[in-house]
Amino acid sequence: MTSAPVYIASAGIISPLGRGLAATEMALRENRSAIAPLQVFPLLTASPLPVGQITDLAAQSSLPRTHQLAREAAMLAMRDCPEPPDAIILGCTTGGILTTEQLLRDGVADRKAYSHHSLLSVAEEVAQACGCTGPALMLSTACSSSAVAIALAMSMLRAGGMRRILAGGVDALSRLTYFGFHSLQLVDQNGCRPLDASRQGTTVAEGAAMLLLTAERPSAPLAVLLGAGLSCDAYHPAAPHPEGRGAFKAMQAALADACLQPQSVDYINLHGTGTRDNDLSEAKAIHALFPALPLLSSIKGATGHSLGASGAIEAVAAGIVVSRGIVPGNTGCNLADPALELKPLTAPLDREVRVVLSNSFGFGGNNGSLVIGRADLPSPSPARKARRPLAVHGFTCLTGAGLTADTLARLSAGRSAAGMMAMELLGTGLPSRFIRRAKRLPRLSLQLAASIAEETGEREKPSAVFMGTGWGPLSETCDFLTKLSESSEQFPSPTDFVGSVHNSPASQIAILLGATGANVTASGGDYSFEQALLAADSLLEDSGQSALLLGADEGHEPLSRLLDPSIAPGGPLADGGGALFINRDPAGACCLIGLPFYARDTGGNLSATLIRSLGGAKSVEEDFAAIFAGIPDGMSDRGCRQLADFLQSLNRQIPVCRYRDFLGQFASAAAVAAVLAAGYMEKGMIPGSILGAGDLILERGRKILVLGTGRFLTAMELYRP
Amino acid sequence: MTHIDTVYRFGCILAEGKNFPANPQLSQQEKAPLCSLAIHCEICMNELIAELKVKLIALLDLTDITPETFDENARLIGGDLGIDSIDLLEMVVMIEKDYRVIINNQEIGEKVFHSLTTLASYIQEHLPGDAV
Repeated sequence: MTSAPVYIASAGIISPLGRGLAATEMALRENRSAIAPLQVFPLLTASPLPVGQITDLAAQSSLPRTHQLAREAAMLAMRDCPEPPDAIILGCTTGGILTTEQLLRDGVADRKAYSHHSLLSVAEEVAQACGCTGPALMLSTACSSSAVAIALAMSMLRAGGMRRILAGGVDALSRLTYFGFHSLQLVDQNGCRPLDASRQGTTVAEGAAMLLLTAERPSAPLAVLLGAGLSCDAYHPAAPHPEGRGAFKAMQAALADACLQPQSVDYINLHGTGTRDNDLSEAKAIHALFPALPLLSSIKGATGHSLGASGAIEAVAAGIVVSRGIVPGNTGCNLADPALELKPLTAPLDREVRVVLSNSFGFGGNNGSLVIGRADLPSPSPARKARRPLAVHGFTCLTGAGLTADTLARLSAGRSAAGMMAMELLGTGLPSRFIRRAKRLPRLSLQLAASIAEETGEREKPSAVFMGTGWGPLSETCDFLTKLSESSEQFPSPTDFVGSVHNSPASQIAILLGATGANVTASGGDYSFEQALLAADSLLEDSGQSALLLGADEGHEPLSRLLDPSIAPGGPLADGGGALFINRDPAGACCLIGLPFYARDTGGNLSATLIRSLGGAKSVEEDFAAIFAGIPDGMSDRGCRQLADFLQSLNRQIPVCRYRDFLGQFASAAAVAAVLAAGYMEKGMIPGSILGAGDLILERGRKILVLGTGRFLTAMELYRP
Repeated sequence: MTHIDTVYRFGCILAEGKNFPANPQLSQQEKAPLCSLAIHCEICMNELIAELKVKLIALLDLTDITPETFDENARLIGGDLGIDSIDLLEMVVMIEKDYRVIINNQEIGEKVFHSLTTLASYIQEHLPGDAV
């Protein structure tokens, strides 16, 4: 465990409390609640519930609210930094859904209109706005999304190689979350009053916050990021563990990461949503961890709960706390619930604070805690050590042809495995009570998890889950919106809402496998699996921890065709996924896996930098036996050009297979390609049927390159230890 | 609430196999012939339970059981069927939609959803239009 700090060089925030640090600080000092009846979109029947909203956003923008908020916050954070960040890492739950909801209601069939639906498009918008050409990652772990994004950014900066990362989160109000929380009876009609004895729920809100994180100390940092801890309840899709098991684990891990004891914490910024269950389980976890309670409060009575943005908004608030010496009050709490045995601050307090613990917990029991310290805290010198590469100890895939054996057989026979496995065949062997609520994506994901658990057998179970999904649970999302509109907004389905969150499949896997470690879902379009791999490589411990790394997507009529620009119009739908059992122990591994290259294509020739990052043309020619290239149908011109540029820079012809041609067009086809590569590594041979040539013997030391093309260019490599 | 009202409403449910009119404007004369059914209220209750079994199996995708094996007196939430708080809320939505009975209080909810029988009783007692 390293205690190397990461600096919060600057921050941008836009929340219902206002824009920028000064306005936010003033609102916190005034103990003012910004919660008010919904105005952002019209309702068909009921009268508006209280929300936290930003009322002065440009209405005529061509961008969805989410993108506007993210862009504004990013510009604020980058105001004094002339150089672009090396990477963007955001957390978000619903992307451009508010716009999509209206388009679907209006029956708009033009695919272009949906181009800002995806979560990734928000990260791309920010990358474009600040000229970032590195990875633009999008994490979606419900209400802990941006806390997890900050934790990942911190890990990547500590690992070296990057100097600056813009990390943060954003969410805009939408019908999906507004009615979703209402259907779960989690909305307080009077506005949220965290910790209050009469609290009846939360208040859905919107906002964005971005933090420019640096590995080296800037001249005047806002604060230091001392540690982060991630965990998963592995308990229930929506309700927190009643004893706060996961919350305890996340806080404990964050303090251990910061090399601090509980008594070093001066103030806890609570997740404190105002729901009866959250506040109670968080209180129990705090009592279990802290022998003496520090100052504590939740600011959600002032801001409302901005879901995926809340972790970043509250990290910025923590930065204000340590830099300005003000501790916010627990706005809205009049009489603290005696059952919680907590004494939240009823009013703001002028107080020097050195260390803040900030909690964010999400659906699926996905938890993230951050430790933020005052900028003048003594900073130990970075103790960076090179980590061992990720080792693959098991693999499984699912395609239109079936599970791994069927897929491999189909491909060896020279036939395509593209298609969609029949729904009734998915989830076989899993207890029906486990999968009865699961629609297509969670079923695909659970099937992959069960299949790999069966394959790895008695070996240790994975404690962490890293999942990539380009589009999330489309069936649940579509069904929720359809029922909402068909019932004139009266009868939204709570089951579909809980199922629609992008981390729902990964959190169900955690329950299936009892995986209580980090549980991270990346929602990065065609590069989702690569993003999950990057997260795993940054967050997986050096020893004693194994993880399930997977990518999965569902084909959905009509949403896949409307939303996914990588699917060519009229083409057949395909889906599936791939999963790897990984740790950092090379002994007995079938191969090692890494991600040496990830960049946004801004029009220049990327192949030179790609080749450089692979060790130069000579190494590429010598090391790589084959290239598996992912070229999305809808972007084939660009993808083919990128591939050709790369191949032209080499003196030796390396056999290439375009895997989407026989796996189908879906965002996580890259996960299946990685599984095929691992399988062929283990066998020591790639069948000629997929290379359009003879069988290719893989000598020891030879690698397979899995390229991702399109708006980004990515390169995974798999090789035997 | 009168037996006549109750019988009338469940008569409609049985007749239509699903919903009943929101505000039936019936004269006393029109209701009168149904009076003979009042003694069969228990049968109505059984029919409601039977109807709920079918609805819940479909709504919650309870593939392990059939209406015949669905024990109406067994613990509904947290019991062998694996029904949890999300399912409870899904049932709340269905009951409001199909029967127009609103259950929006957690404490009441826990009592109402104790078993299928308690649920059916609550629906029967709280059908709208009843002169409570």
